Amino acid sequence: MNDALKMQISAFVDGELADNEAEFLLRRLSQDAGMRQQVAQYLEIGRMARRDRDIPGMDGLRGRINEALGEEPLVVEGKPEVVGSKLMTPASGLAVAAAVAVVALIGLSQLSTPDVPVVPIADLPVAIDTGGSYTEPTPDQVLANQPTERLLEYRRRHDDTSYSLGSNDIISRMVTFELREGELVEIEPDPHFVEPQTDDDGAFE
Amino acid sequence: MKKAALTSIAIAALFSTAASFAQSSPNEWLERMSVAVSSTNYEGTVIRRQNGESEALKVAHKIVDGVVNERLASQEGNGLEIIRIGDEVHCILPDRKSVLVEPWNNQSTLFSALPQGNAPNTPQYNMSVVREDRVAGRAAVMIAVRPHDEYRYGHRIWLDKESAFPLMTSLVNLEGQVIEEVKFADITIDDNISSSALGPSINLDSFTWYRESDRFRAIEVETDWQCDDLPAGFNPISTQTELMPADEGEEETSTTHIVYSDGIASVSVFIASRVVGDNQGWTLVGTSNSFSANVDGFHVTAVGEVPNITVQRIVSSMRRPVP
Repeated sequence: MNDALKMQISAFVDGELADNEAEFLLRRLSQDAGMRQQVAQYLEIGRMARRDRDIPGMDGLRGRINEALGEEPLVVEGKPEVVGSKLMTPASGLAVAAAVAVVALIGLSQLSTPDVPVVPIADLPVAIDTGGSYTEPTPDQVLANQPTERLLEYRRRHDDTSYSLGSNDIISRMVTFELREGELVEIEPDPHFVEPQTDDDGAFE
Repeated sequence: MKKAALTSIAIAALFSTAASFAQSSPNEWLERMSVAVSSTNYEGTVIRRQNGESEALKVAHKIVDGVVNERLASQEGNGLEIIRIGDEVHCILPDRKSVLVEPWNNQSTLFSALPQGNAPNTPQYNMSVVREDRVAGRAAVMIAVRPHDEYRYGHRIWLDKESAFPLMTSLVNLEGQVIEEVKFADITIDDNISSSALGPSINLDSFTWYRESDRFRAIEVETDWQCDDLPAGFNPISTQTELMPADEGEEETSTTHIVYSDGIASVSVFIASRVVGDNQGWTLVGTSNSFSANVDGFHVTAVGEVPNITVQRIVSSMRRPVP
């Protein structure tokens, strides 16, 4: 499967594929069993990468799609029996349109964990970045550390130097106010700010 | 008859403009967005969601004689207000009866990480106009900025169809989960924002005013440090030596600060002397991830609004060539 198709599938799963492109994608899938198999494998890899993220309401969602398509779940040839996502099944033009309509109603992102044939990951052709030995830490590993004063200062410096790239976060800057208080210098109040503004004539004084 | 014809032409031109806006490329939308962020006068309520918590802010923004006047007021917690006039912001903390004055640049104070108009030139992302939508009661166009790999986050941006002003922005991870979201619940785009909406809502008579000390200094330098295994697309864009404030009783420390960017996401790497009690491993700092480790006798930390594996990979491959 080429990168463009992977990108399209990924965008579809995340709800970021335009409706007309989603319909086109479903049409292609309905007409090409080989592509359906490739997509099934690709999605399975994604499902593994996402650590079998369970989405509440997925069973109900599948039921609604099945109902909309008016078809029985399909067994993918040569693979273990699966209660199939309709992404992987041949469908008529009408069924494709119905699937698109259902998807539009419930949100594309909820389709992110379809049931697909289980394929040993070692058997699959996977494009792996050469630096892929790094693993995502668990939430506990991340939250176990509280940022030190030096790390908060680093974050501020990072914000400062990222201005030109559009990275900017004034709210988080204030989080460090208390820690920085010892570094602050007391100054005279700005007379323009001592009283709340009550005039309504446009320009700020 | 002539009047009717002119009216028809005007209506046709209007529809033509609207249609061309709807058919604009993501690049054109983002360029229009950059202009809109810096030139639109608006007032409204913003909901900001981060790390599972949400916060409501009242926002007013007006350009007066070419100078940005802006007020952000938290509707919850300590009632923080931020008043910006041009290149200066006044942060008002009612619970501490304090006002902190800080310099500011010309960037938006509201949107934390918007891709810029030249972002489509970065090959690490795919950009698309996804669909028309509705946000804060206004017709919007959703733009998706999708990374090609797991080393950066994606963006979803809902732009006002009429003005290209960002009505909602989301920073999303590989799993499609929202890291940070800024969304207008209501907005008025209007040139007649009153000055009372731009000033502090409370009397500051008894408040103490502060500014930052001048201890911080940064000098552009060259460095021997380099990253052997940068994720694709990231390149060094700046290297500085900075004097960082130290804990009480200790001397200031000199820190090397290297910034890597892929055109949208940026990561700062800080290289400093080792200090007892410094962070090691991963730490969450707001919406930023950080990773720290000891490398070649130095304490190396990477910070940025990128996934954990990105900061880990960069720190783990920082090297100082032996002369």
